[in-house]
Amino acid sequence: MLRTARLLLRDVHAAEDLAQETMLKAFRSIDSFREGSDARAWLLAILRNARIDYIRSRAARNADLSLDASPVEPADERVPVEEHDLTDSDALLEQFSDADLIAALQTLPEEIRWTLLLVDVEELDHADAAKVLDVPVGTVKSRAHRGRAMLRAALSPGRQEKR
Amino acid sequence: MNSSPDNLDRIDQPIADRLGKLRGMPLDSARFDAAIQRAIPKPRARRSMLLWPVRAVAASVLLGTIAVIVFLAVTSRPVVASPERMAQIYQSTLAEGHATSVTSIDEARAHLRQIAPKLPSVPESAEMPVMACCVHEVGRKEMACVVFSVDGVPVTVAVADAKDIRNPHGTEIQIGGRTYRSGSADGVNMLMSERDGVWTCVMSKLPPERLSQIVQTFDR
Repeated sequence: MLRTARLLLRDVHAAEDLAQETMLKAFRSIDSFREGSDARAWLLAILRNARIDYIRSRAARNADLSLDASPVEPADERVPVEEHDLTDSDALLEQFSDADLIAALQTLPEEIRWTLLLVDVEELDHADAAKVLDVPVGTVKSRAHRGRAMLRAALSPGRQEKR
Repeated sequence: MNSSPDNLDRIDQPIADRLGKLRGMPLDSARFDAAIQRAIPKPRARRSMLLWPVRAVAASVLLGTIAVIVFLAVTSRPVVASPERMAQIYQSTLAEGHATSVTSIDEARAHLRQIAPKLPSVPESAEMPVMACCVHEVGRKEMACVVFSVDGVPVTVAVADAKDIRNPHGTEIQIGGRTYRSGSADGVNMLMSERDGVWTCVMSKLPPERLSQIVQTFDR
C-alpha cells in the first residue's frame, strides 16, 4: 500500500498518510473482507476510495483543485509515438532510473496513473483492476495502453532534455 | 502514428515490464510502520478485547456465586433474638390489626399451621386464656407468637426452630429444673429457653418473678 501511494503521489508524507488511512480503514472494515477473495485488490480498492475521499474533502475546502489531484478522465488524446521510440525500446527504458520513471509517471493524469499502477506495477488482471477503479474492463485496457504510450512519450529523449 | 497490433505490443510490453520492476523498489517504511503500530491496537490488545465478553460472563458468574454464598450464609445462620427486638415483637402482637384474634390454643395452632406450617407448635397452658396469634420475623427467621392473658396483662409466647434462633447474652437462671436466659427491654421482661429443638420466649410486662411462675405452667 505504501509503495502504491508513493508512486501515486509526489509528496512522501501525503503518501504515507494515505497508506496509513487505508490500513486504518481496512482494519475497521475487516468484516467486509470476503474470505477467498484477493486481499490485495480489496486493499487497493480501499486505498483508491481513501484517495477519492481526500480529494473530495480537499475540493470542499478549496475550490481550486490542482490538476495533479484530479481523478477526472483526461481527453482521449492520441499520443504520437515516434519511430525511434519503437526501436531498441528495452535498452532505452533500462537507462532510466526508478526516480525518472516515477517522475514521469506522476506527470500523467491520475486515472491513467491508477491504471498503470494496478495493471503494470501491481499486476492485477484487467477484471480486478476494473473492479478497483469501478470502470468497465475495456476502459482499463484502453487506459493502460494509452498510459504506456504517454509514459513512453514522457520518457522520450526529447522530453527528458526539455525538463 | 502507428496502431497496428504488433506495434501496440512493441509499445506496451517494454513499458509494462519496466513498470513491473517498480515492485522491487526499496522503500523506507519505518515511519509508516511506527504510525500504523500507534494507530492500530496490537494483536494482544485485540485478543483481550475479544475476550471481554468471556471475562464479563465469568465475572457475572463469580459475582452470582458470591451472592448466593453470602445469601446462604446469612439465611442459614441462626439469628440472635435480642431483648430489644423481642420487646418490639411483644408490642406489635398487641397492636390492633396485627395479630389474629383467637379463642383457644387449638384455634391458634390451626391458624399458625396454615401460615407457617414448618414452625413448631406453641405450648399451651391450662391456666391462661388465649387472645391472639401471629407470625413474626427476626432476621428472616420466622417465629410463631401467641398472646395469652394473665391477670389482665398480655403474655406473649414466641416459638421457633432452635436452629434458627440463638439466645442473646444474659443471665441464665434455673426454673423448675430448666435453664432460662432472662432479659428485659422497654419494660418487657422475657425468659428464653431451648428444648427438644424448639426455641421458646415468654415475655410480658409482668414482674420477672411472676413470669417465672408462668413459664412453669406450660406443657413443655
